[in-house]
Amino acid sequence: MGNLEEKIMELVTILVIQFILIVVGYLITQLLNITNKIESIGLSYLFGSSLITILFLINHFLFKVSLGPENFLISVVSSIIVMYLLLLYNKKAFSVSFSPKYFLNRLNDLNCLERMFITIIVLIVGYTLSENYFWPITDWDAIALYDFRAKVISIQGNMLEGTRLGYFFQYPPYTSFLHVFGYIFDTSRVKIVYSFIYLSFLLVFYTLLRRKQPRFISILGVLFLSLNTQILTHATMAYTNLSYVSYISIVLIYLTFWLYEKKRQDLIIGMILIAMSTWVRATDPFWYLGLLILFIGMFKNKKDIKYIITLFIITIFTYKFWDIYLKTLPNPTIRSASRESLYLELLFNKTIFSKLSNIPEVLLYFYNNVIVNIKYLLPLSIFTVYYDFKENNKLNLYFYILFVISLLIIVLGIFVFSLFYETWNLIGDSLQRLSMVIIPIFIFIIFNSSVWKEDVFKNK
Amino acid sequence: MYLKINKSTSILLLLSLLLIAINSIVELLSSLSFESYIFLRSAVAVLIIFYLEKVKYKFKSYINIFLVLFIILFLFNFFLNIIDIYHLNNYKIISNICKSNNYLCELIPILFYKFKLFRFITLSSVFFSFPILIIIFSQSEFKKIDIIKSKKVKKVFIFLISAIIFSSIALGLQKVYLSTIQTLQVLNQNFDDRFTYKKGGTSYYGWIRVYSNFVINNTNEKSNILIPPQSDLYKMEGNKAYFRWFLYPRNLFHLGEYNMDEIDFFILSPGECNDGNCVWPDFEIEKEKIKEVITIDRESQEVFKVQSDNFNPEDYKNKWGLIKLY
Repeated sequence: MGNLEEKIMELVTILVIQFILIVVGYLITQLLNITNKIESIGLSYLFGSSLITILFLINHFLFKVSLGPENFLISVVSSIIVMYLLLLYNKKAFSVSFSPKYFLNRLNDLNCLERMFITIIVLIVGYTLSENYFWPITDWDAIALYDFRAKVISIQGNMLEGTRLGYFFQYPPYTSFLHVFGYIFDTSRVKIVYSFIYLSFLLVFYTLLRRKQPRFISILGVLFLSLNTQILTHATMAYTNLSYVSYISIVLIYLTFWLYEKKRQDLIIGMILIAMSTWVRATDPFWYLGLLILFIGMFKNKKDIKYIITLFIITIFTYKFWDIYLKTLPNPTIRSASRESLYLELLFNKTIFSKLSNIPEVLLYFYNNVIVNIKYLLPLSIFTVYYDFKENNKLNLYFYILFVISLLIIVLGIFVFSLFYETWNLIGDSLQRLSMVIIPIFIFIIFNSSVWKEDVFKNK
Repeated sequence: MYLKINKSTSILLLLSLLLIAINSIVELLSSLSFESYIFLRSAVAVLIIFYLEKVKYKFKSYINIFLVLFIILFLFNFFLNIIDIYHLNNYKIISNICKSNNYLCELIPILFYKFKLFRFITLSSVFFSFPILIIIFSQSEFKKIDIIKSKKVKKVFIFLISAIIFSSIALGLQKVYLSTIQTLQVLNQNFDDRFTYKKGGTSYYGWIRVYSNFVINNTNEKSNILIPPQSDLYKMEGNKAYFRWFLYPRNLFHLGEYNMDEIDFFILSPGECNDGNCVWPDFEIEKEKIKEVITIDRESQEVFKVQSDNFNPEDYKNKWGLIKLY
């Protein structure tokens, strides 16, 4: 019986922690005036989890509060108070009522097929919850880095031990801190956070699709995304890739919407999420793509320039924060894995032209590790391209450009890597994980296409 | 050229037969890659759903009976997978029943093997989920997506996307099915020890958990432990960044990284060498330095302690353990 009580307590604890993160994030969504409840709930976990993990380190760094339960509580309480005061100051009435009636009414409104698709999505999310709750971490990189440092931090209350242990500071600590939040409250079932990230991702993806598409197509798109083998696999793995993909693909979609529709709220959400994506994985190059959209958008939406500059500063601070913290640690040689120096070196590298012979091999490597994973979507894209051009679906045309640039970034990245590392073609797994970002964008393009806009799928 | 509606019944029949053939032949002979045959089945299944709408025969009213039948078979298959059918005597209830009905208990295994019922257990969830999905989809709004009447180009698009979605759902449900079976097998196990099951058991990578528990039980938290070199031969126990997760806060070192006088333990590991005839440390250690050698049998997990002589690698080939130093 005691054992059962312990298990129930453990379940309650880990769920309460996630709930707290959602509450914090929800307040942010209210500050941003996000009225769509599904979007608001979806963004809540992404906002809340990254804000609290950043504050967790700020409290430790600036106020020397150990990385333990007190710090977590201080971060949560202070952020809730600040946001509540900001809401009062801005005289924003925010709704905290989640009446089951509201959601039941929406469910009653669905047709049989939509209900069936939603049931399958719920089943799949339930599967990730069960898999993450009942099974310990078994994935190599999580054992070697992400979860290991969480264990060390939860025991030591700081990261100093990492300087001695080595292979500790290579990535920002977002997911590790989410694990720490579980460990410091005596629960080992920390992998459950990935189900929350996965669910949040699906919810936001739905609301973004729903902007231009009927409900049925949007649900179908989410079903398609939720069942993608790579995305689903990562929803039950303690890696940073799913989190990164969730943040960055949503960023790119929000910012493209901003570029197209000039809605300031999209810009703000997109830029906050860019900052947060660099807190998950600072080394992956896709956030530059977000910056490129901002740069182009600046000329189109001149009224937003002051917002762009402010948010850009916040982004750079978040991007650099981890490096700044590392510089204060006793061992000055510790650095996160930055590729900026690599890019700079490339610019001044005279041997680049002599290595152009690598290109065929680079392209083959790109096909085997990137294209192969989206191969099943390619026949569909023939139809979407045809209809989008025919119907002049401008928004999707923007997404095509975004998608092609993403592919070019990956090819360029492989090429750059091939210049400097002899073992460049031996880490296909890593490349597959990195290029997962293009999957949600591709799926978004397919389901946001004009190919659906006919009487074939009549729906609300 | 489209097929006329009055031919629908024969086409449907043909497609159904094709599906049954694919289900039976491919499932039993494994002649295609998993993803390919799932897609092939999905494509046929989608066509069946579309054509089923065109058929107006009495059997449609019996379709729910088929649905119930398949669900029952699916649940029965699931049930047989979660119980250990080959060791039923391990269950108290069954052993009690067998005491009073010995004849019955002997008859069941005979019938089980004679009629190859084990084939039923090995059927994948896809075998059942396909007919169930076809019936459910054919009764939903899915039938309103009129592939026959839609435009030429869209016809292909709708067919392709439906087949992909169908196969994705089947694969997703397969994951849920397997995960549920696995989860039910380990519910009574210690949370951390479930690692072993997930990583293929003690004869595979899951061994590292059991071995780590052995090391933890025989060392204290401040121990300095010398581990094998990092190589393919010692993938886990030789990889400091990996092995430390299991043993932290114990300190792990490779040879040459630390003052040998302060090392408390050596990991004793045969690694993964092909002839099964290796061991690390691959050098001799004088008996004056050794307090004891503790070994663990990989199969039985029995622990043996030896107040050692000189450590000679030849005597410890293919053995796992720890060398405790003075």
